[in-house]
Amino acid sequence: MREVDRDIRERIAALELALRERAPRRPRGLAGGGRGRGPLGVGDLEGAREVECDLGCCLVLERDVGGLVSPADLGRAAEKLAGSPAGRRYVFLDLETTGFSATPLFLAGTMFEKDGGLSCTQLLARDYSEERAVLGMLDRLIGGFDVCITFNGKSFDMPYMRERAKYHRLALACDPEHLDLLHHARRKWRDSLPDCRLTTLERHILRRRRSGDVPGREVPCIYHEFVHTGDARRLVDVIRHNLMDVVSMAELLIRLAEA
Amino acid sequence: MESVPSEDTSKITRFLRGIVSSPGYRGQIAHIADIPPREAEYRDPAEPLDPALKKALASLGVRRLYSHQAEAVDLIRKSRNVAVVTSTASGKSLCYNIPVLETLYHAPDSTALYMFPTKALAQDQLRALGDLVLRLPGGGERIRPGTYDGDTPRYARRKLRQDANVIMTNPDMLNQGILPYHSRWSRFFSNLEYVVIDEMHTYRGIFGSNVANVIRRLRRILKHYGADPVFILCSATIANPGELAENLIGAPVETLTRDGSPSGRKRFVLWNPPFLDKHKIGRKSSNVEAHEVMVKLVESDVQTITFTKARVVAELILRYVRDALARRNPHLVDKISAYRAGYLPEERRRIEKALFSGRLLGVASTNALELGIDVGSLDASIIVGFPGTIASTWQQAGRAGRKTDESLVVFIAYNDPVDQYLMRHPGYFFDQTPENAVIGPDNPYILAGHLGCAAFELPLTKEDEAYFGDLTAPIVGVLEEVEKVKTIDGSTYWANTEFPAAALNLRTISDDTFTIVDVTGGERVIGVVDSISAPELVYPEGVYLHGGETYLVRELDLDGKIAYVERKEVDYYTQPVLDSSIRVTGEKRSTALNGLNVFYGDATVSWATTAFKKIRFYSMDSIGYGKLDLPTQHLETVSIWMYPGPGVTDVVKRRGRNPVEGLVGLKNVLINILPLFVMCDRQDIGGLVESSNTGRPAVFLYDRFKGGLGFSEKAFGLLPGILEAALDVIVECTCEGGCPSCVGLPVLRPPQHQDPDCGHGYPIPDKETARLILEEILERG
Repeated sequence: MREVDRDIRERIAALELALRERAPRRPRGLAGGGRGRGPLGVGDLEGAREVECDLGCCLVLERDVGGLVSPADLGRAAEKLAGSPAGRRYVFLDLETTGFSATPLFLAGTMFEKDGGLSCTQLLARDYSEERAVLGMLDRLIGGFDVCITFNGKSFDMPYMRERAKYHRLALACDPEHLDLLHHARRKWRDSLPDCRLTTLERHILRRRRSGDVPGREVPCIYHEFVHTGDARRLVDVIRHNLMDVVSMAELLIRLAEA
Repeated sequence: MESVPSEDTSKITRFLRGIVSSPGYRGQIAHIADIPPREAEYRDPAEPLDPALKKALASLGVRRLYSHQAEAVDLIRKSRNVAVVTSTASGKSLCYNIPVLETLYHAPDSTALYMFPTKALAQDQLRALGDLVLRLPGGGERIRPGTYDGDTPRYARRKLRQDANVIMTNPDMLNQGILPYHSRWSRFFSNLEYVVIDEMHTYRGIFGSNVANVIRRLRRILKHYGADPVFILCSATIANPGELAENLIGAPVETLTRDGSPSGRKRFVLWNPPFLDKHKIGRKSSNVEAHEVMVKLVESDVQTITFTKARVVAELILRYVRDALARRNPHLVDKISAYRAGYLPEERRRIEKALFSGRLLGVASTNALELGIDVGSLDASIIVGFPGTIASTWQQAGRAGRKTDESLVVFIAYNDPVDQYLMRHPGYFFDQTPENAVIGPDNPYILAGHLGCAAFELPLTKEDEAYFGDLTAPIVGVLEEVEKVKTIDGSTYWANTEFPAAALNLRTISDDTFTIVDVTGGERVIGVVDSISAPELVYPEGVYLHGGETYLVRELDLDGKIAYVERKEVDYYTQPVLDSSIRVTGEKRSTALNGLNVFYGDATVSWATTAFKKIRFYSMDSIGYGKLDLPTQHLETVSIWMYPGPGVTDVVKRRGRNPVEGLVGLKNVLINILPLFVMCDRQDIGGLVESSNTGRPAVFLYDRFKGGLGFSEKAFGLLPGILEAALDVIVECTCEGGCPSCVGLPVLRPPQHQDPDCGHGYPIPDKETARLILEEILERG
């Protein structure tokens, strides 16, 4: 920091005081509902490794979710729903962001077939500076597939990704076909369900509830906290939330393709 | 009274002669300035205009360019930033529309951003540009303008972002609706060739300081997208257009002030309402005088616009005029209207059109019609009360007599110090303007808000000090401390769920106001007051005057910033007893002015309302006293201070007078007249006489804004002229021993402002001593 003279320092101190008065207090016990462990480093997460590309570094979390749904069933369901020819390669996508627009995205959850099973790959920006790398790697990852499957991605995930790419002045190479499950879900269940949000569909169609899930509106706050403190204890919940979203999408796809 | 030449037989002359010779005339005309007509000065640009554009202009009646338009085109074609400072209706918009159209017509992918201070102006300019575009062959496809502001429907916004190549907006929208979402504007910003900033003189004080920072944010975003546009600024006449332009955009600007447009003969009448009685204190109501003049004009078939300072006055004058016409000329009643904020846009359009077509003969308006809205040329303009700046006065005066017709301006004074000063000094209107538009973009409080926004928009780096100055790093440090931002490898990111631009109000010091809540039967917000004034306006048990009603203050919640008041009929008002002090925290400059020592620097003002006096209405008897226990308030700001040397004080003492009395009077006069030099409101400047800092009594004048806005800094440089004006005020005031029009305390508090009686409870300082001090310093004795 530049050396400043005394009176400037005094004025800045006053400014700081004024801003502090206005700043919202950090909620108590934010660091994880008293789980009683010390801070959790993000590198300690299961399946985590740092990956570097020409746009910088980010964290990749990989895990096998094989056995949940058969990739072959998924392929058939997607073909039926999208009316596309056989043999296409599919990838599920769900983004976690720090707002509804113009703010960074920090987590991209993807799921695809790998070695006959399903693999989930999550790209995590450990801070705002890694968003570029997440975008670049995500672009490359999606580029390896023919069809991208999302839930409300037509109006949220895909435009968000494109907007963030513009923000970083990156040219996206990937241009997959897009299968948005929300539109199909609406068509099928609009009259029988109160709404077609993913959690509603999980409860009524997939017949399960998530326990200890993070409400979506808290996600941005948890991420900012994580960047400030480096403690990943609550971020773990967001990462799981993202994973669950992707898994639910796969199950939903099967249901949607049923007669 | 000036004489009206008898050989002159024009409509305006006949009207004036009629007034002067009418039985009711009581010598109200203090001065008539006869402004001769000015011939048009034409010039061609160095390189000819595009033939298609030339043809389009000709079809609108523009066959040749005025000299200032051609000069502007030449400079802009050379990619120079330009500020055009010419009169109302001098064709300023062509100075930017021509270069913009030339570029966009041939390169329709290029873009231009127009910024106006109001949405109405953007609408008006959209229509004007649209007229021109339609006359260009294929213009409609190549030039795609649109307004993008709070009124733009959502569905239209996306289309404008994707397709428009001229966007007309305002600083508030830029702050909240465009810059934070710049990635959606990447096409527009990447191709930006021009930024147009019209009505630049309105960007001063707190608004201008914020706008300068919005432009800093714009420029760094443009750099991100690789754009380097030319800035074109237009302004009404002020003393320092080049300085203001450069401070606003942070880059060199060439200023054009030579006006090549023609104007008709204009008679500018200074009209002072007559004294009510021989005591020569009270004067007849200016609103009543205004309506009488307006009725006479309308009856003489002179199309007239009357400008008022408040919405309610516009309505009041409309009513007076209609009543008078109903009695005398009922067929004219429907030819009069009011115009102000609060009318629906369609209604405003209707009035504008009716004025343009001549169907309306008279309109009573607030300054809503002052800025460039085109309503055609009217014959006469009545200005009721000094609009606050000479620039505004000329804008309002310019509403009468566009181009070559003869026109009349009647400026009707209020009975307050500045208006009365102007009545005696017509030179202030007709000589070179003394008004300086001042901004303080580096005020740390303002910077803090914008640096947060900037970090939200793009990570801040060391290079951004080039835009935001030396305070950038320390303020970013503070924002980091409070976890608004996070610095990672030298880049500072916004790291908070808040949307920082929403917290910024460009036109006031944000979140620094007290809300006044009426708790009589439920809770109802009836007003707001700035936090600096709150403790001396809405203290517990005080009487708060609002809309002519009396309210008793029940509670002042300093943390929640709320004053709870209750409607109660009382026959008194209250006056706070203030305990104030000032501490100099850093002297930055000093100079000596012929026996007066003058300084400028940082200072902290502290004050508390310790008690209040109850004063009965009308009789002004003091009928009670109450003690208060309110915490002391502090304001860290900048100030000038000055004290006379022993040579001056000795002269005063030899005459058996007390120098402190004179200094208090001097302070009051200075607060009254500073706005004539630094274009601020009287409420923006505070003053004190105290001796603890300098060891002798000194006059302090400070910016009433946290961190300062540059008013007192500017005053430091202009002091000799300001002191001359102060002495004029004192010498020429007709009062005997001092009054609120000269050395008396200016009446500042907003709600009480309506009631001049409320200022009279304070003792009037010694006028004679104030005069002596100034005469010694200025050697004018």
